[in-house]
Amino acid sequence: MLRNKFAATISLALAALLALSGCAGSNSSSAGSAPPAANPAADSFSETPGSAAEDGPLTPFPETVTVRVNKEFNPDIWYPEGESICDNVMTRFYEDQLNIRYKLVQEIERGQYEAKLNLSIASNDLPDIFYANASQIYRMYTAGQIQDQTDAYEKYASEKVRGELEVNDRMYLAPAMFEGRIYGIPCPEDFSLSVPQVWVRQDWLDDLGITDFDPKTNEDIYELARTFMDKGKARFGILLDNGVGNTFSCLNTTLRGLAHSEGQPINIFYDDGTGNLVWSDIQPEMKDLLKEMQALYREGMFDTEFAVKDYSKAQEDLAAGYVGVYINPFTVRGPFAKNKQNQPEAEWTAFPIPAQADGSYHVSAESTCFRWLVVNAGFEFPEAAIKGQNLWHELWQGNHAEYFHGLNEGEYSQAGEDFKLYPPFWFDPPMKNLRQGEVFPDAWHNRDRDSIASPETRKQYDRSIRYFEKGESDLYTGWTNIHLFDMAFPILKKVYGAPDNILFEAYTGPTTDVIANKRPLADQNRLEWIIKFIVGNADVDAEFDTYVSEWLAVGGQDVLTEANEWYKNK
Amino acid sequence: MHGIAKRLKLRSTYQLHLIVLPALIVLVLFCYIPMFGIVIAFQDFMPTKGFIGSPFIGLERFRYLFTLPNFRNVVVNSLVIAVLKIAFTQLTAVIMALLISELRAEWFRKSAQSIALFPYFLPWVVLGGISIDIFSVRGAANSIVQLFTSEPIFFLGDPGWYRVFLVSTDVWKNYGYTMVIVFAALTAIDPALYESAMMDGANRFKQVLHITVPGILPTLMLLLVLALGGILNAGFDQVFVTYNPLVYSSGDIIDTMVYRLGFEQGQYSLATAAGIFKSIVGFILITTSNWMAQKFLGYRVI
Repeated sequence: MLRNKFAATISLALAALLALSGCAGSNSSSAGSAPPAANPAADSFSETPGSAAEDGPLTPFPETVTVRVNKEFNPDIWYPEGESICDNVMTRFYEDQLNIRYKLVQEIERGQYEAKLNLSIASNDLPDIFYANASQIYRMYTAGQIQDQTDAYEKYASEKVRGELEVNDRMYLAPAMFEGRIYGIPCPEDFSLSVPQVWVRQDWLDDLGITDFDPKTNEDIYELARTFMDKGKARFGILLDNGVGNTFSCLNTTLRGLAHSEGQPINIFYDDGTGNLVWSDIQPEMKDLLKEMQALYREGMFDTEFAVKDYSKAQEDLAAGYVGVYINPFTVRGPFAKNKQNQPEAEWTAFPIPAQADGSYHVSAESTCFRWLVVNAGFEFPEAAIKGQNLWHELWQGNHAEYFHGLNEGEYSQAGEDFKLYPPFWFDPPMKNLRQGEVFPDAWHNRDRDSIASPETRKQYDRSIRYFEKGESDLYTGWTNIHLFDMAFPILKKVYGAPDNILFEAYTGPTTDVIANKRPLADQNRLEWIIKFIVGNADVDAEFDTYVSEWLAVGGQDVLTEANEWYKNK
Repeated sequence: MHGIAKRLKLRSTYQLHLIVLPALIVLVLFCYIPMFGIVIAFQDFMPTKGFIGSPFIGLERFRYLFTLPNFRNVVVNSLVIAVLKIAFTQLTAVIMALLISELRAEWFRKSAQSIALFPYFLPWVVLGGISIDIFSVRGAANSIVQLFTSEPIFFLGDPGWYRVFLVSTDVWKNYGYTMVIVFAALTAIDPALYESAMMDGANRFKQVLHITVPGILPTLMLLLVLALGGILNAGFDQVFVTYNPLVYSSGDIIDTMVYRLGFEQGQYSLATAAGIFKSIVGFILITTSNWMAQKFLGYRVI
């Protein structure tokens, strides 16, 4: 508090000085683009108002604004005595900085958010600012329940937030834009949630004396998986699930990893080069992949029963140590930590998936934005949403990051990773982990903490140090940080050339009624056929065309037509 | 004169009416008033306008429902699964009730009854996980199968066997409940009938055939008629916790489809339309079966 007051005083004085010298005319965007400074007094200098005219990204409201919110309640989150989900150190900080008070009007049982929000939409009993998914946004937009945030966004979004959210032709904003207007502020997650690497049990490699494993072709991967099985290490070769229970199932990422060397994208719409959007999984090139998968299934490469196991069931097999090859994105913290708990000797290493014929990488990636922050049509202060997100970014990565991560490592260490759920809303800058992956490896191997600028990366570094050198039993972050920041992200950056070489989902249009209704039918049909092909209940050569025509008939054609119409008018 | 008698009767029984009143109010409040909600099946329901302001679109939702590509498949699945479940549950319950009632040791009879009833009280969320383990390729069921053949049976992944799995686990879970009702019917049979049958020289089997079975038939008819009303309820929770993409073709039922379409995507009108469709089919079946029970067996259920 004292420090804040001090900072505010200094900055007011400096701002007054600026006003006197005639430089106060600078607009809000220049305030945001000022380089981040280490000194808190200096940075609030550029973002604290000198006069009413200077209403910037982080300017507090003149009067206290009360925002009614809903929150998903998670009983596992730790709060100190006297703090709660909507009254804690972070919400107080928001009130302090922005003069926004958050009032909890609906507490939602964990895992029920979407269903409960559907009910709120149906009964038109909505909070002021809240998360919604793409099809909910489309419905609320057509029913006039949410308001246009374009003006608020253009005026108040800080340069840093814009930099994070407007990547790749505004692909994160587009699904919540109608007629060029912004109706939702994206709350994306890491861009690479669906981009696979080949994860291998390093301790098994060591036991078997294999030192030259470096997969150049799919066959190299299969060969290793067979060796693990033959030598009695693994029960089956490569982990697979039935594609149910998680947005980025093991089935899709494995298909994506194995299809890459043939240049085949998986589970996305992409431009076929003629300005048309096509759906990856009905292309004739899929046949070879499916035949390959079928042959592998027959030889026992996958669990005979993978079709019965959803995402979490399959993860149990990984945790039990039944499998040593796992084609998956960086999202390995939970599964690996559980495996290490069961088998303390377990070590995992990541390798790049095999390159395309010319040695290049063009890995397909699904969109990783699942929710947007929307504002109730009747709410008077739409800019409260974007201002809150500006402040969140400052806390998570920007000028207040020292304060935020300092608290997280100090008084609030018991909250762990959940500390980011203390503020009213949050998002993860999609490219942030990639940046951490650029800094972390050198710092880690040279034990050079000072070379890390980002307070968050420093926090992760400290946790790993505590695990590896001080014997703290923090498997979930301390141990797995190495997998993320020393293995997965360097591969993404250096080998795959992310994000430039990533083939992102090309349909970023709204989730219209047609898409919301037909896409699930088409997806289910696809899943059903792909699994039938893999387990050999259907012959690839004879029945692939039946699959394609059925997929088109159950709704795929409608989705394709709708997507192409949007793509042509883009 | 008549009116006075009536008033006198009411005066003496009004306490009883008062006792029923709260139940009636609750029934009207929670069962009849919400029925007006079915209008949203005929509307382009918009939450903001409510069901008074939303525009009517007639049978459009039903048309959409019936033209859904897998709708026919889903209805057939629901019917087949539900009929098999009803038939086998009743059959098992009757046979088990007859067998257990013939037992002499009372402690064994009682405990067998309790054990049979126990799984009825467990939810499918719990049983689903257990039964998936039992019926998996490495599970207990397959170790028995492998005594006879070398190839394990893929109960949860083979469309044909999946129905066997659904019906058998459902029978195991629910027959105990029906069995208790059959027991109640058994005790209602006049013991004198058995005594006279024995005097006439009927053996155990003949007694069962000519006294027990006719004696419990009305109860069986009642159970059957009531079950037919729910014929399109093939058991949402059971299917939902155990199905997977390999068995959508034989295991996907109306309820799971409605869940995916209606609740995951918030299409209330469509979900309501499907609900009405189910209710109408149930209503028709329950009235015709009641009529048939009355005509052919001379027994009136409702």
